[in-house]
Amino acid sequence: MRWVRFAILVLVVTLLNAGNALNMISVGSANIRPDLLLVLLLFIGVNCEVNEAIFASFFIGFAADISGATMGPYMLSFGVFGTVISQMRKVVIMKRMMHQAVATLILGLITVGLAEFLAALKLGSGTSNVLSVAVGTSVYSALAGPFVWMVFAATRAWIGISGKPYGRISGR
Amino acid sequence: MARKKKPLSKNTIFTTLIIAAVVLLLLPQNITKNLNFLFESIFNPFLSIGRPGPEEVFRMPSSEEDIVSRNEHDKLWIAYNNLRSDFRKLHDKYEKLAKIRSGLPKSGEAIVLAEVINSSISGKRQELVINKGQIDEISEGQYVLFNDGQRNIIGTVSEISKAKARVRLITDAKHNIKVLIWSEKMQKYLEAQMIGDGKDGAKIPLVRREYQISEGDTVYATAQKGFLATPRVIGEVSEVKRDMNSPLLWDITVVPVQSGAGAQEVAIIVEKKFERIYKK
Repeated sequence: MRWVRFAILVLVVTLLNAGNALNMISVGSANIRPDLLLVLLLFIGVNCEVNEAIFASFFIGFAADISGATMGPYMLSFGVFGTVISQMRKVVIMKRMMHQAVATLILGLITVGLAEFLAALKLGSGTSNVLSVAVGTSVYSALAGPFVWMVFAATRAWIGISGKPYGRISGR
Repeated sequence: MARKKKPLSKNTIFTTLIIAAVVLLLLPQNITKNLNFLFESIFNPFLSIGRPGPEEVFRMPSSEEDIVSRNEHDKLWIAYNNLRSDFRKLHDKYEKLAKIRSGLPKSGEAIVLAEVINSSISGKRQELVINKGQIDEISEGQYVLFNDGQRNIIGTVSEISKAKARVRLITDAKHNIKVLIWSEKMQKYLEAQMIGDGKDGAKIPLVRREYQISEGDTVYATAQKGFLATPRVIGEVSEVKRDMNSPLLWDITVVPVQSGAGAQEVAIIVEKKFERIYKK
């Protein structure tokens, strides 16, 4: 992978994710928005080699943390579950949009839920809406995910992802 | 990605990174918050592109006859409630002062104006980042007002760095504030805690049903020594229903008088300390 280009892609996605630009498509009084970093995590986990995917997952988590309120929760959550996804690429194909959406939904529920729980532990202030935020963000990300996925797929060559897309490639 | 050198094993990479993540998680927030502030400082121009949050929802009690314009009515309603609160506070003070004369120096309030450099309004958090910090006498817990003509409370300072601070809005699900509910039926104040609902309102839990709370009752931020001299209007009870989980309690929903989502400039109430002057 071309890491400098990947870092630029992560930065752009992080700025979109953390900034006000996505408020245009936010829904509900809770201002629920899709989590683009979550979709990127899944995309990288499915398409990259295991070693690259592990590093990239933690890096995406770090980006989510630094653009958020506290450091650590997303890096841990995204890192662990991005690694799990990269291991699962041996048995899972995510070519169809429906598969991508379902995978985004499940991954979102687990990672966002865990990260928000860890953040609440660190900050010492729990929130009453963790569950609704995790579900709302995951559902919206799942709906928007397949379309965002197409954008990421267009950058495959640019960021230097090798190998056949969506193929069952054995991990190292 | 083929390397001539022996590549690191995936176990080594995973273990190293997970240790790094755990260390970051365990490091105190006082240290790691600087990274978040740094990111916001560097990328603020990009982060602030777009509208800062949902459209402002400002619901007021309905009146059948609009003698004045709605806007004027809203302003007057808030001003009236604030004045009533001030009056009660002054009345209490007068009664105390009539009995004992306090010769001690007192603290007062001062206002520090700050610009909002970034706002984050989502389900996860509802916060503003302002361009004033520790060096401007900003400290955690201070009340933040929307800097327009009315100056309503929109949140409190949750984190500070040297030159910046993070303001947690009253609608943030992590925001917890002591409030007074003015019960029109009982004609008295009730103390309670108000917690943001993560959307566009707040909830007041643990109020027993024996207290007569009704829709339209005014909610005040409680006066706190060093932070707020007199109670200020913070919202209005918009819904009162029986708590489904605890039938002996109310489930009270509050609509803030002002949303902080679109704030460009805010005012922070800071404690003004008068120096003690001793005559020799």
